[in-house]
Amino acid sequence: MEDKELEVKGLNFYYGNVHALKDINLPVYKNRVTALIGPSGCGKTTLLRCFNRMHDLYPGNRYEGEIIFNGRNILADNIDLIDLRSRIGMVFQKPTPFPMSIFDNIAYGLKLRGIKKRSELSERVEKALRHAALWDEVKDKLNESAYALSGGQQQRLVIARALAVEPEVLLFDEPTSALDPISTAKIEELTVELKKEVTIIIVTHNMQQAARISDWTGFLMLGELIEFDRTDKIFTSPSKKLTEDYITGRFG
Amino acid sequence: MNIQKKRRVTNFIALTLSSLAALSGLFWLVFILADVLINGVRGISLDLFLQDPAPPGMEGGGLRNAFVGQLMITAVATLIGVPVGVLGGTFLAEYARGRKLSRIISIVSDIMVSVPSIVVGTFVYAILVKPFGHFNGWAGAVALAIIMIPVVLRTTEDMLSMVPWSLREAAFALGAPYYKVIIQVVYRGAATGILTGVLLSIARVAGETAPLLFTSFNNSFFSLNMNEPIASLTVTIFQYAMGPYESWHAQAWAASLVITLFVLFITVLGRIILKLRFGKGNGR
Repeated sequence: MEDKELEVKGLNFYYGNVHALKDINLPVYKNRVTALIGPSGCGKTTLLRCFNRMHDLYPGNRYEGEIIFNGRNILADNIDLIDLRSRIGMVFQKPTPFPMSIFDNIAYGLKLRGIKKRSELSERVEKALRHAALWDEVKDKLNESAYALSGGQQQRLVIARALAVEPEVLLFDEPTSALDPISTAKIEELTVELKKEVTIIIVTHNMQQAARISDWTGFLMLGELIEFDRTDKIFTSPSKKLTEDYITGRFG
Repeated sequence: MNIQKKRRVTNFIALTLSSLAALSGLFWLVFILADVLINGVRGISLDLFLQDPAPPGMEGGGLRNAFVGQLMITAVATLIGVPVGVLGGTFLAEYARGRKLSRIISIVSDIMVSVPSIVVGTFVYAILVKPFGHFNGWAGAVALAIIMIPVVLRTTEDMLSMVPWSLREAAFALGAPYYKVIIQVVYRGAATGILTGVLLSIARVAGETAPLLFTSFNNSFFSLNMNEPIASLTVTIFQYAMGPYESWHAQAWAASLVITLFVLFITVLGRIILKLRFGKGNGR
């Protein structure tokens, strides 16, 4: 069996009185891409945002159950969120470059961790940009505004920014839904490449995308995890009728 | 055919009326500016800026005291008003975002923007002039600051609200605490907008007379002491324009021109900055 990076155990999540996630149990394997699919409003993004505790930003949200990461429950009150978020990075649906230069964007997370030495920053910025397959396109304009980049480049910039702090897990929240097909292909290629070093959880609306790039797939509906299995199994012979209906496009 | 003709006539009437309305608005603006320019240029001389006022009735002299006083009062007002306004706007847009308190403060400050400035003047008179027994420069600066605060506060709030929420989430996801998100990411995104608001608020208070009449009053002598009454351009214009001497009138015109140009300069500067930022399409 494969190594587990994260394990979700009996997770319930509430937005105020709304019971958004119901008793989720799910392993996330190390150096694998895990896709979360399901119809809109099924809770896949809600689940994703539990892994880096983004829900803590808003009052009235409540977790029950456990997510085990490196032997600790990251839903516990005493977890240092700054540390957690540097180990579990996130990339959003729309590219979110900060209003600063390309270099400063990548260096942002590093500076937050107290790295100030210019030479070390330069080195790690270059490494991150190379990892995100963006270095060749931006190496001559590191001091230009990140807004000057195209949407696809901006999304890779954001991935580089998340990679710069060397996280163990990356959370992708529909990272290609705002991009054109060519940029999408690049991000998909990159995702497969990146799993050598990080564990990736990706939320996607695009089932072909899930089939192309993921190793494991979880299918959610109405806040419940209907089925979790190897991606090829889910897409060829799912064990649940509901999964099959969704995969074959009978609803959703 | 008939309907088309009717439409054309209606169109013509609407176009004529709205053009006339626009022209009449423009006419007065140009008229006033031209008047100030023509009458003001005659009084402009080096002495105006370098000399203090001559005794009443005597020829010559200048308004150095008023220029310096105006700059000091405006500068102190800016030093008080901008930090309070920016921090207040930050509170409303960030920490109290979506809360009822935030809405109430926003509405109250919108009302504050339109409160007649003379009311602010009398208020400051009651708290900073009366208790000390004499007019003073600080009171004038505070009065102008009170007028500035709601302007800066609302601009800051609006500009911060324009920064997309997803940008803040992205910074949080990198592990940044909220104050760093605000200072390093949100302020950067809103910087030019806030700067423009600050400039426009300076332009706004630079032309105020009423609040200064009750607070810093006037001083015919050069003074750098903010504890004493201090001269300002607007109050000087008011007094000189009402005075009996021809030379006073000329100086009032010249001072009007200078202050108009100053306000114009600041306003245009604000517009240019805004345009540079938002016009290129690489901003927010």
